[in-house]
Amino acid sequence: MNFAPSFYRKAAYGVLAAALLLPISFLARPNQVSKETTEVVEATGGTIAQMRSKHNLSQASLSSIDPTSEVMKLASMGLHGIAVNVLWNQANDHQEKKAFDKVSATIDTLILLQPNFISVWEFQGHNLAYNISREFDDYQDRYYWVKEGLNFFTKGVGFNKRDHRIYDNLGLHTGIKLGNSDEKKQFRQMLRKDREFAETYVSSFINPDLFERPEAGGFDCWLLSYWWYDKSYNMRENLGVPKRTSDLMYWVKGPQQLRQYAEALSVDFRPGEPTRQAWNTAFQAWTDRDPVSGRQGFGRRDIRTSFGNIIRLEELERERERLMGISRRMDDLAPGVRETIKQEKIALLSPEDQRILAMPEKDRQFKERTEMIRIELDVRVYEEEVAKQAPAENRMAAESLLRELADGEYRTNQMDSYRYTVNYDYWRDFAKMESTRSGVLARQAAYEAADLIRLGILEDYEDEVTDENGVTTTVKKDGAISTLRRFFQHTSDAMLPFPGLHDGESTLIEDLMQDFAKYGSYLRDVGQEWPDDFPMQWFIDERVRRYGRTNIKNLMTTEDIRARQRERGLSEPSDQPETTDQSGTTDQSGTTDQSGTTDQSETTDQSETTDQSEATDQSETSDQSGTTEKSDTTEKSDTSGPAGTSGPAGTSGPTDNPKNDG
Amino acid sequence: MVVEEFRTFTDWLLNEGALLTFVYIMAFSVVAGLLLGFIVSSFRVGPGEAFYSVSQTVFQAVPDLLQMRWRRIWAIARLAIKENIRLFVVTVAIFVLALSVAGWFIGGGSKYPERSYIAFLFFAAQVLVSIFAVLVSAFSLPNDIFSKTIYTVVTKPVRATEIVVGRFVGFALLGTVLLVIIGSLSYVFMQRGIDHSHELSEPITADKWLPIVDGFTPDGRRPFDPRAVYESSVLTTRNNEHVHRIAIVPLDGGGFEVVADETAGHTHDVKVVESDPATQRPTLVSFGPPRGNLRARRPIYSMPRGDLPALTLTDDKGTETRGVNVGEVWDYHKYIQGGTQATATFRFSGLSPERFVDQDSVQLDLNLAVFRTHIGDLRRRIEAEVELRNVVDVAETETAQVKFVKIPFETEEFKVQTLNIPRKIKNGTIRAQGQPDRTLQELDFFEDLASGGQLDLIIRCIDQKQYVGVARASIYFHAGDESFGWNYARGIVGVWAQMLAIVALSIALSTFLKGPVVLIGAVGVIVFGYSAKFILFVADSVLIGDPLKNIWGGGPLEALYRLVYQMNLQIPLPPGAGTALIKFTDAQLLLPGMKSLSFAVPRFENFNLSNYLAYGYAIDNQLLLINLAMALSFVLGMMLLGYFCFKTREIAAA
Repeated sequence: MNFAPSFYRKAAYGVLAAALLLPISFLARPNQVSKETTEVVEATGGTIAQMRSKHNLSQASLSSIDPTSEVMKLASMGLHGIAVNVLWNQANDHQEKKAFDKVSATIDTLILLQPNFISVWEFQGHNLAYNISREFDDYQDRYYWVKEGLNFFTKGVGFNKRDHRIYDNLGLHTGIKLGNSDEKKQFRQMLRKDREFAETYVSSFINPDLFERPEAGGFDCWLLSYWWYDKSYNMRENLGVPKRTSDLMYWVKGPQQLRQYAEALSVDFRPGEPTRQAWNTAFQAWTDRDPVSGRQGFGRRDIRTSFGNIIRLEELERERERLMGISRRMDDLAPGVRETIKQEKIALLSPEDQRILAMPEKDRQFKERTEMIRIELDVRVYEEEVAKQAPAENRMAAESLLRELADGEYRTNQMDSYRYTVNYDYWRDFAKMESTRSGVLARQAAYEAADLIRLGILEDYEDEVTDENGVTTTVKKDGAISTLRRFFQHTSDAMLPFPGLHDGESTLIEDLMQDFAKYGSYLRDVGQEWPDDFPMQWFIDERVRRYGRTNIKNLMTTEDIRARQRERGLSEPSDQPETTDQSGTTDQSGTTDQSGTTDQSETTDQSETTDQSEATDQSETSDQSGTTEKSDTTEKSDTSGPAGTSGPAGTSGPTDNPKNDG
Repeated sequence: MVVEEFRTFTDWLLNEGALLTFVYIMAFSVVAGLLLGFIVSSFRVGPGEAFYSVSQTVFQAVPDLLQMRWRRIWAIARLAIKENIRLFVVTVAIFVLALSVAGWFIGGGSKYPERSYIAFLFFAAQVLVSIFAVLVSAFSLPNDIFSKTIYTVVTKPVRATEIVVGRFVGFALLGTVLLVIIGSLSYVFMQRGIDHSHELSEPITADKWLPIVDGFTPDGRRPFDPRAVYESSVLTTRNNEHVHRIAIVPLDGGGFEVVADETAGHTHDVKVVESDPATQRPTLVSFGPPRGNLRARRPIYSMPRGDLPALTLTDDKGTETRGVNVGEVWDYHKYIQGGTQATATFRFSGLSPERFVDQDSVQLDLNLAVFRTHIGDLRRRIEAEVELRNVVDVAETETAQVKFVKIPFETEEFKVQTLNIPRKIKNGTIRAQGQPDRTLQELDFFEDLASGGQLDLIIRCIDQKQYVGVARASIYFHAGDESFGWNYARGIVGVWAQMLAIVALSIALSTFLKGPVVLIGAVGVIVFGYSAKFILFVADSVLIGDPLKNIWGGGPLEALYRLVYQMNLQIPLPPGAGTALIKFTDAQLLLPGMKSLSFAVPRFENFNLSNYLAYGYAIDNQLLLINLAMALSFVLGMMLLGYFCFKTREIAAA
């Protein structure tokens, strides 16, 4: 039989094809997979299958297998890249032409082709919740589209069971969009009763009971966002899912949500014990231990820095203590050297600089303080200088200490820098301050003042009250001015133990300044002058002393008050409030007592009388606050009062994150 | 819905030059055909014989065209149908398969599921029918020629015209039957997909009826029905991925009714089943089938009146303007400033009572855009005002009475907002020159305001520093609804017209090309037809330098060069002879050629009328007529091309 050459050629191709099957089989043979769970039960597959399994790259390990997605990918016959491009263009075009229902439908199709591409989920989820929602004029439509965005993210969870970023985005968008946008009041109000949303979209991930609180009037967005982050943390801790963001910015999120919750609670409702507890929880979660999840607090958590070492933010003070100990040991090794070097450096200063240096800290004014930054650098004695001049026999030990110090300083610098990034100290002090009794009383006063301002009641007034027996009596009630004064008194008491909060620039200070200005304008409205015994006069004086008069043009300092009194020919009162130093530790009690006493005699609020007399003792706050009135869940119908009076300073607006809040 | 073209058939045919374009293209084709035929024949048989040959072909065409007989055409058509019955069955099977998995992709969770259904079904129908049309028509004639079975046909007393037309009729019939099946299945599928009902998720106890206080529910929502006095906190069960809210609305004559909100593009009729004897408020209700999602509104849009355009915008000084640019990429809506005298005037004609289903009240539909420059009061929507004003003849300005009525309303963006205007309006104003205004007058909509069918509708934005956006299709009088089924059928007619064009195109190409080449050619022409608008855009940008159509990247050759060298669109090409050649070829040959060709190829995207169905508007008969005329004129051209190509082809040489 004769065969044509083409036959031999075909036969050779056939043999070659068969031979190629062997290495292909060796490389690509699938793993043994459980029929029930679709998990790989035995890594018996080929090399590629084993590598997929090892690096969690198989579809089954990336996500649940979704038939719709698989059909889409197969139906596009390898052209799904092109299909994706077409769909992205279509989605953009629909959005440009405001056909938002078509955008949503196109995205739903698009995502089936790219279910494991996290950036697509992030981009389009954000697009729905932010860009599309804001296109609508009606806040109810906006709310609908924010929920669409959140719903979109929830669809991504199943597709990406080894990536925590979907949960992170759910947390981010739930919190910031529902709780911090222009429409936050309306959004939060609608969410409180939105059981449909909670049960349909969230309940398969989070038990709705976890973010429904009676004191919050129902469901709360910040608590929900907290629990979304909790899901992310669980994924990271229990499933060993790789972390995609820096430790610092990742672990800060959960505690941040608890703080936001406390803030929202303080603004939306009349503050009381639940608010104080919320702040206390936020404080604990920020520092030592999160009482909600039982996790370590943010301050105690191991944070891997970008240089690879691990730090804990709460350990900065302890580390500084340790360094000071080493420094003292250095002094022991080189007795008197530090002082000698310092004196030499001081001698090199100009007479003016020497004068400034010699001044007591509290006497230094703004100009001197500015100069001191330079002078302190000039006279600073470095450990290297001390070690260098240590006696020869101690030189080696001194150099060893020097290395230890360098290492410690490196760590403390990192801690300091990381703390600065998330504004750790500020929020720690702020949460602690808010969880004191004075903090709550200040919040209450601010809440009441906002109501009175809205009603236009500035001065004290008389009201008829009928008791249980039907007896009507006339009682004197505080107007907005008296209530604001009470607010300042409590704020002063609350802030005193936290010098860090008096310092620098923050929204707390900015809001307080605005509150002072408004207080002044209300006084002018009713023909009154700035009081001689203003409860926070020490604070104003301190600001002027440290930063000049830049931002307090319309406020009066103690000097101004004295000048006013001199003009009137009055002698200076002996009980004039003292100017304290920045730590606020000197002679505050005088101010507090005096103003407190004056106030009490004029107020009819019985609870305040007791509170005020005890307010300066911060150590007792926890116990005392137990007596605070339970939060009134009647929501404020309008918070359009003046800025800074819708809540205590620092909580009056969406920009309540002061600088560098992560 | 976005509507940008409001032309009538006559406008399109005469004023927009469709007829003239057709005549030009036909004349050009005849001249080009004769010339081409002569040149080809000259090469084959010499110029003298060529002239004779061409003349013979032309003269033979007359009896071929005039003496076509339906009997022979039908015989050829039957043959064509029989040949392709298998492919027909396969296509139907594919469609059924597509429907069986379609439910995975469409409808669920969408705000308007019917839109997703219609978009998908029409897309599927268009694609399948087009593929079917190309496949059956592209291979039929070439296969006959290749297998030489064509001999048995051409040796019979059958004219070449009948062979070409017969095939067209056969394939068109097959395609029509396919479309009828696909259309019917789609319709049933869609109806079943969106049909559903609800129940209450739990009985509504007295405390679950939330009172509406100061226009808001206790959880801060605006009630979905502004008349509502109570809204239930109990929702319906979740069916078809949505739930409804219900509310109690008091009736004018006493009593109340329970209504459901509009979600997922529809509402339901609600029937009270059981009430609380103490409060008389319902505790149990039942829901009817979905209502309002499949509709075909018949709109009456504003029309140009003489030299005056259908819509005019004026600024706060009364000067005519193009509207304020609020920074949107899409310039469909033109914005007017609030709190000023800026207006948008819509001119309506033909508003006679008989055009309206309900003559006791007139329904005005608004679909406005809103732009806020400041947040304002978020709980309030932007306020605007509609003024209805009679049209006074210029000659009678001094004597005629101006009658008008102002209707303030809160805008609802991205929704069809309905203002029901009673025929007898109580708070009208009559203004006559030299006399004080007579206010609170009763005016009859048709007799006083739209007298002679003409009416001016003026819209203003009331809120200061806020803007309201309008387009011509934003405001229309809603004359009534047509049957959705009938509207759906008209949508299918659009696909049918496309199918006819594709069949004719493929048959014409198959008379001188082999099957696979026809397939590629037909797909190429279809893609070209879909891109015609873009091609014109590019051509105008490069050739005319139209600043409004500024497209970077140049013509086709330049684009190819940039693609190959991965050059950014805005980087100028390197100077030199090559660039000059590319620019010259693009500007002098390719773009003018493509531009001319774009007039000869139908705009295939125009055949898709599903948007009208999806957004609930009746497909305008004029639009349908234009589509049919476009398709049939293309069919005619293709049939002639096919006939002449087939006639001049040497069958035995194949």
